[in-house]
Amino acid sequence: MNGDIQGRRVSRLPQFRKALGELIVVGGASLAMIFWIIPAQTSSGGELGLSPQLVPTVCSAAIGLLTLFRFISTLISTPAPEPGDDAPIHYALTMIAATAAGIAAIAYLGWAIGGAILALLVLLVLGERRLLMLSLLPVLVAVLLFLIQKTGI
Amino acid sequence: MENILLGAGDAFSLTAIAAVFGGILLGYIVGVVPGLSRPAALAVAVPLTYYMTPIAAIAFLVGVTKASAAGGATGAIMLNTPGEPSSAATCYDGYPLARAGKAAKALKIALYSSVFGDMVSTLVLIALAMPLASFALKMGPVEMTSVMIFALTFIAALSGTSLTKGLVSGIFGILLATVGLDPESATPRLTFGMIELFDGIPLVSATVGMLAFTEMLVQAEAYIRARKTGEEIQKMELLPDDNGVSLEEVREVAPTAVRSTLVGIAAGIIPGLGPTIGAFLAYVVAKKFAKPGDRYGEGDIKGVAATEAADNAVLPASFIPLFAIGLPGSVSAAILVAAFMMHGVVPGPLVFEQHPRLMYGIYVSMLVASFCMLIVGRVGLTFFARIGSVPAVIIIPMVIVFCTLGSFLEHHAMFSVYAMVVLGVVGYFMQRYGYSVVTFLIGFVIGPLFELSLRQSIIVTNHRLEAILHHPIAIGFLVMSVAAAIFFIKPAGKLAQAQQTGV
Repeated sequence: MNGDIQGRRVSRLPQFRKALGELIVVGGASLAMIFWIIPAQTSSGGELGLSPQLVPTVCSAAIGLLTLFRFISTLISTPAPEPGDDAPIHYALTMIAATAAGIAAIAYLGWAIGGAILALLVLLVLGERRLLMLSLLPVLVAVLLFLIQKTGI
Repeated sequence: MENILLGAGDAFSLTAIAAVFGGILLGYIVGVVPGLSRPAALAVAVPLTYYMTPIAAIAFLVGVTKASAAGGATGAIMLNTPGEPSSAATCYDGYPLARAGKAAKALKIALYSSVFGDMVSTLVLIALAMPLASFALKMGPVEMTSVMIFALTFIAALSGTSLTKGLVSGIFGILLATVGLDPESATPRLTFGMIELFDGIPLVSATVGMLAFTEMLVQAEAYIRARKTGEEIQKMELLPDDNGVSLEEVREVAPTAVRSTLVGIAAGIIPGLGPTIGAFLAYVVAKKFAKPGDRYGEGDIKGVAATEAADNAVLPASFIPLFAIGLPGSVSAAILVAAFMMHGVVPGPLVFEQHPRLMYGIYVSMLVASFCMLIVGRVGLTFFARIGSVPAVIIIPMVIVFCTLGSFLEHHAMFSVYAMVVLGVVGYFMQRYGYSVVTFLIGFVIGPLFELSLRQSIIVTNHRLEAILHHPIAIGFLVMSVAAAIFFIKPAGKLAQAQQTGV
């Protein structure tokens, strides 16, 4: 299960795991699209030209086949060294959660207040703790969004 | 001749010049801010022109449109977040240049190429509107299908190290573009019962989410990690001795700018292609003409010149079918038709007979707008080049707020904002696992046009494949598609192979 690249021994296992994970997620999603989602969410239509289901089905099938091809080529190819310097996923997930909460605030409290909350939450996730910054930027955002709203855009 | 002089006189009146200048300023702001799209800005600007004279009104709107195209490069270069979808391709070389301390150089090249592309395209419009418009009339559904197939081959060219991943992303873009009402039977497709999805996934939400919001997530991640590990947070420093544009560099960039302008003009004349496809195509063509030593994708000024010249050449060229036969070649051109009609002008073959003075005035105003763009861009450049030194802690929240606002403004619906966040998250995971968001966007932009023209072609040809033999333009594009696919797939495969063997 190992390859040798320029004198370095590189294990095939992480690459295999990654490709298998991709095959399960992407390939599984393609199968779900073809056999479940597309038939349930698309009517057959008039079919003067093409069925409305055709393009989504062809796309899903192509994605599935390409992922399978990628998996097979990973099995037979020489393993490449993994970059392995990805940041922990929870940094981005926290930022996504903060943005979602900020957008919920916009939906319920309006643009000026909600926008200020969004800016504040993003600042907090970024690790900003200076009081001046935590108060100044949200206020600036609130004023800006209030003015944009007033102009009627 | 009298009409030309009278038109020029109108274009040089104080009101018209002030209108052009105002339009350029507004357009630049729209272009710089991610999410505020050109069509949205035009839609907002049209009612503002109600009390203006026809020449001032059109000049104002032309200014907005032209400058938003040029301004879009600023975000792409400085923040890796394009202000306009059409500036997405500028990120490839613009951002690496900025990171290398050459932000001002990249911005200057972008500005000069934009003005060059715009001006040449305007001159082509003035000189060749009528003969070139007849070519646009020959583009029926069969021809458009072959053009779209040709455009889809760019996905292979822009796939980077993994051709399969690039293709998966591109096809995923086409798949998501099928969401909405079926173009033929108008029955809902993959809408999950949501009325908001009947019009499909909003383009601005997709672009802003996939490019700008995803980039902010990546930058936030890097910032938090640097902060937690105590690493030095990287700032973009401007190298004072390498931020000018030398004559040698102008000579080096000139052929690329000329080629890209021609690509942009072609993309403008063919209805439906638009600036995003034009800019990507120009980049692919520029890469194919690369000489040894060129560093496309790593910060080459020619990459910036290619995309910006093409992007800005599209708009004036899209006026060719509009002025000559009344056929709008882009969304912006279609909105401009509304503005023309509001001022009593119906674009089409008779417009030069009915309003010769106004039309020549518009032509001159378009050239004036190019000069104003150069002035505003050059003055603003000193300020824009400093964006990189603004701390990430200010940039990230501000861009996220503008991403939210920009998505909302497209349809004035919170649904667009939710779509932006969802697509941003999808884009983040795609990037994390090496799937290109750029090829996704190409598929997403081309997908609906491709499907519509394909289905129209099938009806027009009555399901007979041999009917294509009666369409020489379509055959030409199909031959080009095959050639392009072979041409693009070979180097992409080699690149992937080199990457795998670690060479």
